[in-house]
Amino acid sequence: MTTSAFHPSLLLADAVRQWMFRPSRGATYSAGTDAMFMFLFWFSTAVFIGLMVPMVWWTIKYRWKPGQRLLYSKSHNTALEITWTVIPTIIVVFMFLAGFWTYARQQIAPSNAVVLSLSAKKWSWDLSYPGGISATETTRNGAVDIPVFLVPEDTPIQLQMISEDVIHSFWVPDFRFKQDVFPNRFTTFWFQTEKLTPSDHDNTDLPYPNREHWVFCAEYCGDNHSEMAAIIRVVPREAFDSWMRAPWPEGMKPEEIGFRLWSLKGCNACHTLDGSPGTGPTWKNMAGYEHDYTDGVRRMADANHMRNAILNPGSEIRTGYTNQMPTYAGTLTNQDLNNLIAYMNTLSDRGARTGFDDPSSDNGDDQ
Amino acid sequence: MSTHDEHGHDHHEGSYLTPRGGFLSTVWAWMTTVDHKKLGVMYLAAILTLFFVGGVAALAVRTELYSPNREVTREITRDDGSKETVTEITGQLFNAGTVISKPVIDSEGRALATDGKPLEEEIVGPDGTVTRRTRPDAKPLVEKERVYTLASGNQTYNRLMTLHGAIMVFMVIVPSIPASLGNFFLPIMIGAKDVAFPRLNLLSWWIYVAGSIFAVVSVIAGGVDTGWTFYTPYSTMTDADHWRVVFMIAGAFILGFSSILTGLNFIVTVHKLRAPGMGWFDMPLFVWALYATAIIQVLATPVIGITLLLLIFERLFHVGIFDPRMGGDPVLFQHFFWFYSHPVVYVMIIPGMGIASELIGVHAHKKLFGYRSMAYAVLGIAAVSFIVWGHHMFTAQGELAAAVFSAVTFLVAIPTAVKMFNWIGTLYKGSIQLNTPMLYALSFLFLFAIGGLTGLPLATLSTDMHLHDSYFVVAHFHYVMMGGTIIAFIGGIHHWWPKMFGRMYNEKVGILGCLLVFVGFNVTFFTQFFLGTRGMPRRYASYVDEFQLLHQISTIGSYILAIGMLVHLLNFVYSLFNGPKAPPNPWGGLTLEWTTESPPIEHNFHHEPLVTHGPYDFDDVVPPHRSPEEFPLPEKPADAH
Repeated sequence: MTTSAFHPSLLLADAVRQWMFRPSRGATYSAGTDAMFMFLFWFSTAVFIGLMVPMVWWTIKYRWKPGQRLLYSKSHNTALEITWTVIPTIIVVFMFLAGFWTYARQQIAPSNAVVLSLSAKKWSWDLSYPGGISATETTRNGAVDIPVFLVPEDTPIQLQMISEDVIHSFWVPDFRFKQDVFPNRFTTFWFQTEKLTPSDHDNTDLPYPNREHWVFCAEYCGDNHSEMAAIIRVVPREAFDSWMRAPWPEGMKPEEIGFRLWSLKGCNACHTLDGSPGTGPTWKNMAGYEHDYTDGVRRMADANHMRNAILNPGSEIRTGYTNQMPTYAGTLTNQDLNNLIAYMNTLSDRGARTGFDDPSSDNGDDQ
Repeated sequence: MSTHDEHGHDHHEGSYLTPRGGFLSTVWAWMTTVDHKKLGVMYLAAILTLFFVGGVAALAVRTELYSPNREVTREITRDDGSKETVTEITGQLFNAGTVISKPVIDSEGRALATDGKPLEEEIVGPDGTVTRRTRPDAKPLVEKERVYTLASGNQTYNRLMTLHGAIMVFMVIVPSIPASLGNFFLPIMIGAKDVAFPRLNLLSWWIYVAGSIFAVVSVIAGGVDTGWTFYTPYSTMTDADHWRVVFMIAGAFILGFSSILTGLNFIVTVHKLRAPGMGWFDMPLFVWALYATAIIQVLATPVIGITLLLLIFERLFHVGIFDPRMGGDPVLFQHFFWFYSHPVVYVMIIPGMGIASELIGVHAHKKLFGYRSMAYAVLGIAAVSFIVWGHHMFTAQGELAAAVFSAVTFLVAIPTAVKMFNWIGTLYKGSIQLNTPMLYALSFLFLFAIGGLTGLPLATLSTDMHLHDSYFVVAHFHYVMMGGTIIAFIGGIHHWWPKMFGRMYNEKVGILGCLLVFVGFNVTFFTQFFLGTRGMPRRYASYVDEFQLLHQISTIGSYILAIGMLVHLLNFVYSLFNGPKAPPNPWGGLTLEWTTESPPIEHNFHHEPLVTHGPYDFDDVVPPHRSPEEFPLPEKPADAH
């Protein structure tokens, strides 16, 4: 917060800013952008009042009815007209320069920034960390699950971004910055996370209050554009490091990880779990059954078919659907594939069994 | 240009509205007319009808946004007393569903083929084992089913949003003022009998009709979900197996020709057909505005034509231009698109500025302050409009290009500010009648000031990186496009209604409608500035909880706005049939349209007018058809010039 906020008018100005923008900022350059905006805001407010007061005042004062004598005043004043052309010119030059200065701070990443790769597709974000790790946690947003991206505090981070289909735009309102994501070239988005306060350090429980930032897609990308969100969560360095060492909770079953991947990797945008229709076939009773394909062939959805459908989505298309799925080759590790297939099997009454039966439970209902 | 002498001196000539012959021949006469006034009236009717359609879509969009998409789990009790938990999605009021095809299964659970028999046959092998296989040449029988999902509800929203944007931009705001009021009044205001190329004018109208039909057919066929900007590669991919996207793009392509031809016509008309005595700086500012607009239309519209044609080629013939899968570049489309669509922003707003100048001059009975600087400012805005397109793409292009486009964008602020100062300066010592057109002029100044000032943080690089594609932008361009152009358009219709149709409307009802529109507009769109700064992206069918209150306020505002528009509509309809007869010069205007009858005769003037005074010389001239007792000329100081 501003250290000079002692004077009541400054406190009021900062309260207006906080109401207008949500209080949290998140990135180190956000305060500069806010200051730029608030300067424009107060300047515009003053200009607007300066225009409207004479407008209303003269409209009231010079009300007229037919029969009243018209009034005369000059309709041209060169000195005045030059003045009100030159002064705005000087002001906008200053605005441009100030805007460029704050823009440079948003654009130029420090050389020690950690580069992470971000990929976008209809309608999910996927952030990859060194070592092929990606997000392992989701949270509910409206009618969909969205990923939670952990980032360490007080660290410069640069995202190298690419899209797998159409144009998206990565916007973090708390950072006051966005950047379009293209299918044919990399774009970058850098930010330096703020340092957590000592009380944040002591608080080891998740989630960290006020340290979660929305990510929205800001470039229209189709049906579920409005559900293409994510959360950036700033965590203490130690917490981040321990997560990087062991991303998945200890003892998590393959199908449980598969369920997380379903939303983390964006499968949930098209594939439902309960048999209800979607852009792609539902996963309910998919594995172990035969299905019709657009090439007229009927195929068994076994592990190899599912692997192929994930890595080469266009090669075998179920009757009634068009292919809208990007390839996941390179996105999913073999371990991820196994976990996903394990999960699909649990959704089907003909799914192949994975793992060992728990000897304590009575599984006597085998047909 | 006085070749129509056979009617030119006929003092008993009827108004242009007088029907000749029976109903069918009157209709035919209107359909084939080359009279700029009839064409203007037909444009007005078509534009207002499409404005109604686009407005209904806007209300649907606002209503949908009253509540966000939420998955709700609740327990229901069945008739037999058993309980069941169901999960359903709320917040999707409009969900047209989507059609899927699924295999037809018979009562025994077998998939059927198109010949009605089971798809599979059983083969008994020599050892008695039974294997099943799909019969050769049998095709699976599928049935179409309409299903309602989260995605299909969002898709319905996206189509409504595109419908609203495409109709309002291409079919309403771009042609609104030039094609209707411009067509009607440009020739009269410069003392001409018609535009320079009356037949071209008729062609322009029918091209407009054809383009609109393409767009409407596309909507009836299910609509388009690209957004009005048709950004690639989404617009190349979406609905790939359907022709309606191509139809919508073709509609916009065709409408462009109408725009070009009207612009060409206006340029020649202004250059060649001014009445004797009317120099360039004796033209009303509305004519100046239409002239500047016409130049932009002629120069910029061909670019969008080529761009849309390339997009159609890419969709139909897979020529790789914009889609990276075929080797194209999607940002190239944005450059092409905004090279047209930014200048066209000024095609939309400059005629609105022209109307504002007329309304303020006539209803304040005051010479426009800084008339010449007003004319130069309009030309300046038109010139700058061609080099600022990149400010729509700050988040899409390189840093250097962004910086250059930011710098030149700020140039637009200077002539715009000059115009604002001049309009308000005109009110000083004016003789102001606060009627509906004047209230609309004041609304225009209020709303356009907000629209202009909120352009500053969008031209500023760092703040635009936050506000780009947010509701701040939505609010900003509605303040300019609707608060500017549409408000001026409605004010202009009120101003010229008595002249066009020879009937007065009810002033009190007009003022009531104006106040409702003003309040409703501000409640709807001022709220959206804060949605934008707080992080609400545009073109969202749903949103996170913290935005809901502001969305609800905005939606309620849109209903107030709609009621105000309906009040105006009823007022006009009543006026057409029951309004009192309008005098030739109800407001005391000085421009040439107020010298002729209301409504004007078929050839506008009985004699070719001779212009002896400026358009706003209220200090020196008693308005035509009005008496010096009603308009006593001011006492001028000795040094007045």
